Amino acid sequence: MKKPKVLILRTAGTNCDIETATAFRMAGAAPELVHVGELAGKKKSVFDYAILAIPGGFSYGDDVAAGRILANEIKSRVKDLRGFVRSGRPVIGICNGFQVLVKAGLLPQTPSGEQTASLTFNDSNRFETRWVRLRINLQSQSLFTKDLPEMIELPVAHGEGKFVVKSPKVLEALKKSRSILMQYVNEEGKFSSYPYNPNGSLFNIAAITNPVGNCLGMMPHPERYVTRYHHPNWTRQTFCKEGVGLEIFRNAVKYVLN
Amino acid sequence: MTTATKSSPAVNGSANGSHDPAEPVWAAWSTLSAKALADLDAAHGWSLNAEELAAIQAFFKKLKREPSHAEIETLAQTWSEHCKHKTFTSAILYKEGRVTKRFKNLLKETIKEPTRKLKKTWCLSVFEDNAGIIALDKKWALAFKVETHNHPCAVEPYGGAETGVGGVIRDVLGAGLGAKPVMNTDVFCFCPPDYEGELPEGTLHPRRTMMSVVDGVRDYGNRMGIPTAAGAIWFDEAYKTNPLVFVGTVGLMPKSAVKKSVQPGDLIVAVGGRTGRDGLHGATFSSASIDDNTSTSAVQVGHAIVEKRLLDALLNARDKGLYRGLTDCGAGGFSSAIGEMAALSGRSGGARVRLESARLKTTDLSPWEIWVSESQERMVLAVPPKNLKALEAVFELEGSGVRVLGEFTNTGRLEVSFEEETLVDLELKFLHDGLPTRERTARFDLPSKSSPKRVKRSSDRMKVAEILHWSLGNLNVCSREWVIRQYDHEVLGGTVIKPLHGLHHDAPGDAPVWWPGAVTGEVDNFRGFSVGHGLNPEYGKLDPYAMALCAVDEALGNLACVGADPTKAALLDNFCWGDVDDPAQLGGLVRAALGCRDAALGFQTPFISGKDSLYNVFTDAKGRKHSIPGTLLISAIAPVHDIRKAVTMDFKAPNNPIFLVGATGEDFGGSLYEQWKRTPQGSVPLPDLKKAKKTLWTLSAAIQKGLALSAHNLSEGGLAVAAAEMSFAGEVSAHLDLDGVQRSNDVLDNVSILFSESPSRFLVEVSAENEKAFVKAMRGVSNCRIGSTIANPVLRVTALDGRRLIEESLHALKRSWQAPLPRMLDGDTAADGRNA
Amino acid sequence: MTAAAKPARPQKAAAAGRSTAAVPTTIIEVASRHGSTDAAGEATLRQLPMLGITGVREVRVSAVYEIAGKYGASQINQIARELLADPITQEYRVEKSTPSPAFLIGPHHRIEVWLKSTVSDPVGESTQNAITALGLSEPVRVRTGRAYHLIGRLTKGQVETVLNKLVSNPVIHTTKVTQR
Repeated sequence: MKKPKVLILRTAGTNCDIETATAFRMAGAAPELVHVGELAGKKKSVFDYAILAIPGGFSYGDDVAAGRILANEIKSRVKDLRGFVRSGRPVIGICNGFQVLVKAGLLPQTPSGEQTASLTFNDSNRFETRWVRLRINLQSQSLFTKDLPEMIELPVAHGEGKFVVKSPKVLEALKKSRSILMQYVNEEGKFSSYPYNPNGSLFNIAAITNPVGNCLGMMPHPERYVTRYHHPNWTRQTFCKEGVGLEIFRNAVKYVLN
Repeated sequence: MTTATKSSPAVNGSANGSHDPAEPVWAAWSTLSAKALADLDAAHGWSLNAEELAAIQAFFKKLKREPSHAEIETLAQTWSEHCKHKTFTSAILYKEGRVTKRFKNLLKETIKEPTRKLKKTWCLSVFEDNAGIIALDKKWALAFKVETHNHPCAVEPYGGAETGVGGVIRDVLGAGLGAKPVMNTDVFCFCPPDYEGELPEGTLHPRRTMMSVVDGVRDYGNRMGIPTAAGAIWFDEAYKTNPLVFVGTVGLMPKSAVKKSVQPGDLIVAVGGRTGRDGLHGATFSSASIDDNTSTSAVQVGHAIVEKRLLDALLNARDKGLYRGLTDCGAGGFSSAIGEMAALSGRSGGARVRLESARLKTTDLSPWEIWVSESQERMVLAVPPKNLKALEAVFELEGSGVRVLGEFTNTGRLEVSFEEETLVDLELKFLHDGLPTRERTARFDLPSKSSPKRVKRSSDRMKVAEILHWSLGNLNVCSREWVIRQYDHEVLGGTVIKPLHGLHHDAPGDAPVWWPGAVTGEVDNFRGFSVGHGLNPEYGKLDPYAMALCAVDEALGNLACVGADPTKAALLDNFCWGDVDDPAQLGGLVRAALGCRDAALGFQTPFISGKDSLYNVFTDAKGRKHSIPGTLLISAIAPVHDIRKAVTMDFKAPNNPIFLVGATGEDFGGSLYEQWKRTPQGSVPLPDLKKAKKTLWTLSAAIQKGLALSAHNLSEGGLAVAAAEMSFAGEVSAHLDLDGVQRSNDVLDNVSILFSESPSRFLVEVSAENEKAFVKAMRGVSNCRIGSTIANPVLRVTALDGRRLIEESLHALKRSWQAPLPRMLDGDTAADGRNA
Repeated sequence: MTAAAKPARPQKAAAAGRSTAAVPTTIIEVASRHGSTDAAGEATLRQLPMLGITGVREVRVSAVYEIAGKYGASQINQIARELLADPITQEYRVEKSTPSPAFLIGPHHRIEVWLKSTVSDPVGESTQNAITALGLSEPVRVRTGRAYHLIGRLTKGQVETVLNKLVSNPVIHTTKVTQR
C-alpha cells in the first residue's frame, strides 16, 4: 500500500518537526518537512499531501505573541490552507501549531474565518513542562481520537496555552458542536485547578476540533508519547502502557487510507 | 523573509566617533615606555600584561613598522585568557608543604595526561576542537562541551545567560563538521536568593540574578528546541558578586562528520547574524575582574531565532557536504574564528579577509570593530568555491545570511583589509605561538592533619528528625522543580529518563537518559546516552584535591545509577577560580588539577574537553579583592547500551530489599551536618579510587543486567537524605536498620551513619526474587542489606541499639524538600504539598 | 603595503548613514482587556512583598512598541490590530489617542522600561519583519519596552526599589516614571 504523504510545515523557530515526522513514520505515513517559504513561493502545494501537520516550537521566536507572525503569514501567503481544511483531509496543529490555527482563524471554525478564541499567557506567567491528564470527548467527530480511551496522559510544554474565547457564545457553540476534544482533569477524571489545569484554560480546554472532525488543535504533545519509554513512569513495575500519542497519528493515517 | 533583520544605524552603538581615543599613538608604539603601554592597555581594555605588551613591541620593532589598531586587537583577543588559557597552559612552580614540583604546562601534565595514557579508541576528538567527541555506536558520535558565562551574567544576567547558551550551542554546531544539539545542561552557583546582607553598589540582588539567569537559559534553550535536561545549582554567599553560570550542550553527529579541514582556496564564508558593536571585548573582559566601572559594551542580548535559522541551515548544508570546515564566532569574533581556521589551511596556513563584505547591523562601525566584534549567532565556514551557490540557496530558504569574506591561503599570514586599506598583516606563527610564557608560582598549604576527634553525636530522636528536615530543606539539597519545569526538557522526543523522577514526576533524578531514536528515525535502535555532573565547592574550601576526586566520583556515580556504562564515560572539566595571580589561589587550582588527573587515571576515564574561567574577583570601592571559592564542575557523558534497562531513583513497590552499596566512614568535612553544627567536623571525604572504581563498575554492571529496581547516588546529607528522597519519590517508603550497615571502625553512632557523606555510596532497591543474584553480582564490593521498602507512607529508621530513631511522614519530608525555592522566589508559602 | 601608520578610519557609510532623526515615531501600547488575566501583572505583584512593598493592590503590565517609519493612522491601526494586540485578550492604544477601557485605571505609578538604544532588541527586529510581512513599508526601527502600572500606596523610595530591584537593569535599560 502506498504510504500517505504528510506535509510537516516548518519555518524559522519550528522545533518539533523532526519528532512529529518520526511519529508519522511510525504510524505508517511518509512525512516531508516543508518550509513555509516553499508553499508561499508556490514551489509546492498543500494539495500534494494527504495530511497536514503544524508542529510545535516558537515560530519566529513567538516574538509579539505565540504563533501570531506565522498565522499572519499563512493568512496572507498560504491561502490554500482553508481549502485544505474544507477538503476534509486531516489537519493537526500541536502546541505552537494550535496557536497558529487559532490565530489564523481556522479553529474554532467560523464562516467568516474570524478569530474568535485565543491561546494566551499561562496564569502562572511562566513556560512550564509537565505531564497532564486529559479527558477525551467520546462524542466528538474527531477522526484523530477514534478508539482512544477516555482518559489519557500527555506532556505539555508552553508559556501561552491558556484557551480563552471572545464571548460566551463561542464556548456554547464549541460545546454544542462537540468540538471541545480534550480537557485537563485530575487523577479522578474531574476538573481541577493548577497544576492539573496547567495554564488556567477556560473550561479546562486542552484541544478543540472543527465540528466535522478533520482539523485538530491541541496544546499537549502527542509526538512526545509514541513509545512507552516516553512516559515518566515507565520504569515503575506496574506500568506497561504503550505510547497513546501514536494512536492519534495512526488514526489520521488510517482515515486517509480508508 | 529571506535575510535576517535589517537595523537602522542608530540601533547599535553610540555613534559619537570617540572609539579610538588613542589613535594617534599607534605611530609611536615602538617608542612607548612600558608604563605608557600599560596605560594604553588599560584605556582599551585589552588585558595584555607587561610581558605580552613588550613581546608585541619587540615583534614590530623587528619588522621595522608600527602595529595597526586592528593588529593589537587581534593579538589581544587571540592571546586572551579566554582563548588561550594561558594560566592553565603556563609553567608553574608549585610548592605543597615541603615538596616542590615544576610543571612545564599544567594542562598537559594534569587534565590531558590521562587521556594520552588511556588511549581509548572511542575518544574520537579530544581537546582539539570546539567540543570533545566520543563514539556512541557504529554510526553515531556525541560531541559535548560545557562553557561558562560568568562575567556577563553578573552584569546582565538575562542576556548573559542567553548568550552563554547560544555560545555553547554554536560550539557543538562547530565541532567537527557540526553536530545537532540534542541536550542542554545548566549548572549555576548563586548567592542564596533570600540573602539579606550588604551588596556593593551596582550588584544585582541574588534573587534577581537567579531568576533572570533561569529566564535567559529558558528563553534561549526553549526557543532553540533543545531540551535542557541536566543540571545543578549550588548556593553559597561567596557568589554574591560573582555568580557562576555553566552551560553545556550535547550534540549528535554521524561519525563521518567528526573531522574538519580547511584547504587553501576555500572561501571564508560568514553565516548567521549580522555584525554590530555589541559584545566588543568579551574575550578580554572575561579575564578582567569586575569593578564598578565595568564596560557595558561587553553586554549583549541573544536572538535565539537567528541562531535557530543558522542551525537549521547549517545542518542541512552539512548533510549536503557543502563545506569543509567551520567554527563558531565566539570570543574575539571574526579575528579568533578566522585566525583559528587559517591555521588549518594547507601546510603553512593563512587567510585573506576583505571586511567590507561583512553584513552589518549598523554602518558606523570602525573596521577593527567589525573584526573583533562578538555579535552573537555567527559562524565561519570554509567553502569550496564550487559549492557557494548551493550553500547560498540552503541559507536563503531558512532566512539566514551568507557572505563571502575572503579566502583561505597557504601564505602563513593573516591578511585583513577593508576596501583599499590593510588592517592586519601578521604571521600566523607569531599570532599563535608568539605569546610569551612566564613561570608562575603557586603554593598550597595542606590543612593540618589532625585525626578527626571522636565526637559523640546526640542521637536524640527529635534532634535527628530536625536535622533530616533541615537537610532536605537546605538550599543545596531542596527541590529544583521551580527551575526545571520552566525548561522544555522533552522537546525532540528523546528524554526517556527525565530530570524529575517518581510517581508525581517531581523527585530528584541522578541523571537524564536520552534516546536519539526520535531524531535519527532509528526507532528500533535503543542505544542512548546519559550526562552527569559533580560539583561541591564546600569540599574545595578544605581541599581542592578532594573536591576534584569527589566531583568525578559523583558525576560517574550519577551515570551508573540510571544504567549508563561508566566504563565508557568521558569527562569535561570546568574550573572557575578567583585571583590566580595570588600564589595561594593558583596553588588550589593546581591541586584540583592534580585531583582531576588522579581521578581520571584511577577511574580510567579520560577528559575530552574543558574550559576555565579565571579572575572571578570583585574589587570593591576600597580596592579590596573578593574571590569566589575555587569551583570545579565535572561533567560526564556515557553511552546507555539499552535505554529500556534504565533505572530511576523512586522506590517502586513495598517489601523489596534495600541495599546500601559502598562503605560508610567518618566523612563530615564540608558536609551538610557540619554546616548544621556550625563547627568543623573533621576531614573532607577522599574517595579510595581503587575501591570507588570497583564499586561503580560492579554496581553499574548489576543495574545494566536489570537487577536493580531503583538506585540513588548518596551525596549531600548522606544516607538519610537519599532514603527520604527515594521514599517520597515513589510514595513507597523504607524501613532501615542501621545495625546492618557495614562501616569503618571509626563510625560510632547513628548520626554518623545517617549523615556522613562518604563518597561512592548508593542506595539500591532490589526485587525479592533478584536478591540473591544481586548479592552475587556485588561480590567483592562493600554492600549490605539495610532494610526493606514498606507500604506505610512513613520513613522508618531503627537505631543501632534497636530503638526507633526516625518515624517521619513522607508528606512532611517532601514538604520540607519542596518548599524553599517557591518561597524564596515567588513568596509562595502554599507551594508545599501542591503535588503531594 | 604595510598596515602601519594609517589609523583605522570610520567607514564611509557613516557619513551617508540613514539618519533617523527626521523619521516620525509612533508608540503603540498593548494591554490586557478588563476581564482578561494580566498574568505578567499578577506575577509582578507577587514579587513586591519580597521587596518589602505591601501597599500595592494591583499591577498591570502592558507592552509598548515604538515604531519609527512613515505610516498613516490607518496603517498604524492595522499594525496594532493585526500584529501587536491579540483581538480576544488585549486592547491597544496609539499614543495620545483616546484610551479604551483597558487603559482607564485609577491613580497609579507608571514605570516605562525600554532597552537602551545601544542594546539590540530582538523582539523589535522580529516586529520590524512582521510589519513588512503585512505588506507595509519596512519600518526604520522598532523598539520594544514594557510599562508597569502600580496601583496602590507607594513611597518614592519604593518606586525606586521596584525600578532597580525588579523591573530594570541600568546596564541595558532606560526608564521613565510618571505618577497619574
